[in-house]
Amino acid sequence: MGQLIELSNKIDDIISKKGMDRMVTRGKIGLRSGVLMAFNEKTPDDAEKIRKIKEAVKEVLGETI
Amino acid sequence: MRISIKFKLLPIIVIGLALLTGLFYYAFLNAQENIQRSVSDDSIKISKEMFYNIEDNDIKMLSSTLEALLSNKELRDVYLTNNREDVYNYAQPIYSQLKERYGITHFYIHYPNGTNFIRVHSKAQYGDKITRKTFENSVQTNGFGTGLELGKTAFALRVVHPYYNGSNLIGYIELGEEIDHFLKSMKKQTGNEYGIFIKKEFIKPEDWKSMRDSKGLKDNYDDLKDYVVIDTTTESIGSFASNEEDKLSKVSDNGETLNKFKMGSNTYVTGGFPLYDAGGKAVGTVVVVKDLTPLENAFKETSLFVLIISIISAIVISLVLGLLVNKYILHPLNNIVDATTKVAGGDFSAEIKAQSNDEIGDLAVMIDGFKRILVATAKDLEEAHRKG
Repeated sequence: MGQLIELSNKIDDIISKKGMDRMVTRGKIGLRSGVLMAFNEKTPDDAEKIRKIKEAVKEVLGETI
Repeated sequence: MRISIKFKLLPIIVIGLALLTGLFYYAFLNAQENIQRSVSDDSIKISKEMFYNIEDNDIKMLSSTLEALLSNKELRDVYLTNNREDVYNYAQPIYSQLKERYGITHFYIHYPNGTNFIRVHSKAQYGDKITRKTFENSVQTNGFGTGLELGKTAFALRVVHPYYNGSNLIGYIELGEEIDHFLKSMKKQTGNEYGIFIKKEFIKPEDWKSMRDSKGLKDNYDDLKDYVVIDTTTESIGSFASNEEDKLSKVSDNGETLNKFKMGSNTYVTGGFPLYDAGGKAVGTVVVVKDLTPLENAFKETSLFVLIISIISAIVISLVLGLLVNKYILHPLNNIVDATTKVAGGDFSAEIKAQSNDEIGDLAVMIDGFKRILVATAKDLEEAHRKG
């Protein structure tokens, strides 16, 4: 438990560093990965979702997490 | 590769407007051609009316002069003596006055059988049989015989009337005038150049050469294939019409435009109408040459103006269409895409508003509905996980 929210936080950090619109960028990652980017501490971990989000992050932000 | 609708529509709009501009410009040029043809046709029609009006007026003038001569008792008495010298001595001063005042160039008295008694304008020539159509018409109708008649090298307008002493026919009096003033008068009023083209079958080359030699002019009988220019307002009329010679014999009775051509920097149009003699025989064509240069220059200026206006209009219409597409299609679509993306990013508060009452507005309402279902489902799942 907590891997998705941790990933979400890392994505936010990168978006923030790049000065991009947070919600729009997260939306693009969500649409690419097919995952609704709304997580909290209780969101159960899901290896498949994490893999898809990381792939989308690479496509949208050009960075590997 | 992603290409915006804007850039997909742009070439269509630009090509469409360019085609429309081209079509408009083509229609404008076509209209110009039609106007030029109309101006030319009108000019020929007016020239024809003018030619025959001058003929009518001159016939009236000749007829009234002839009537005065017919009622001249002294002339009749002298003529009845059958003494040519006495008649000449009496009639010559009258003829001189008529020539000076009215341009009358022919004054005849014929015997009742058609043999010429005297030519007051050419005393030495008499005794020949008169067979002209105007004379025949006067004999047949016992009244005026009038019309244009072609002599050896020129046209003359003739008026003939029976000459009576009481109820006895004692002869015929004939007056005539050359018609070289017809074309001059027409040119003065219209500014056009004119030429009378007579078919060669009616003019003998030796007669023509003799007349030209007597005037110290070059024999131009062979300048044209089938016609001789017997009268003109410009010596270059032959070159104007030489290319259209084959069409001259086919011009309609109303007259018609034959050709438009350029000579130097000037634009001309030629046309013509048939010329009939007193017997109703088509002996030639009156050629009209109109200088269209002023009209052409005015059209050129207008064409340039229209072209510039068309291009500016096309650019303005393209810009306006671009702005309208942007306002009514692209902007609302981008708003929907932005809001939808934010929702996917977890911003459930992002609003997907219908900004217009049309298909795009319907799409926004529908996606907003989906968003609400999605958010509710996500909250339900989260609740289920928390409890479970």
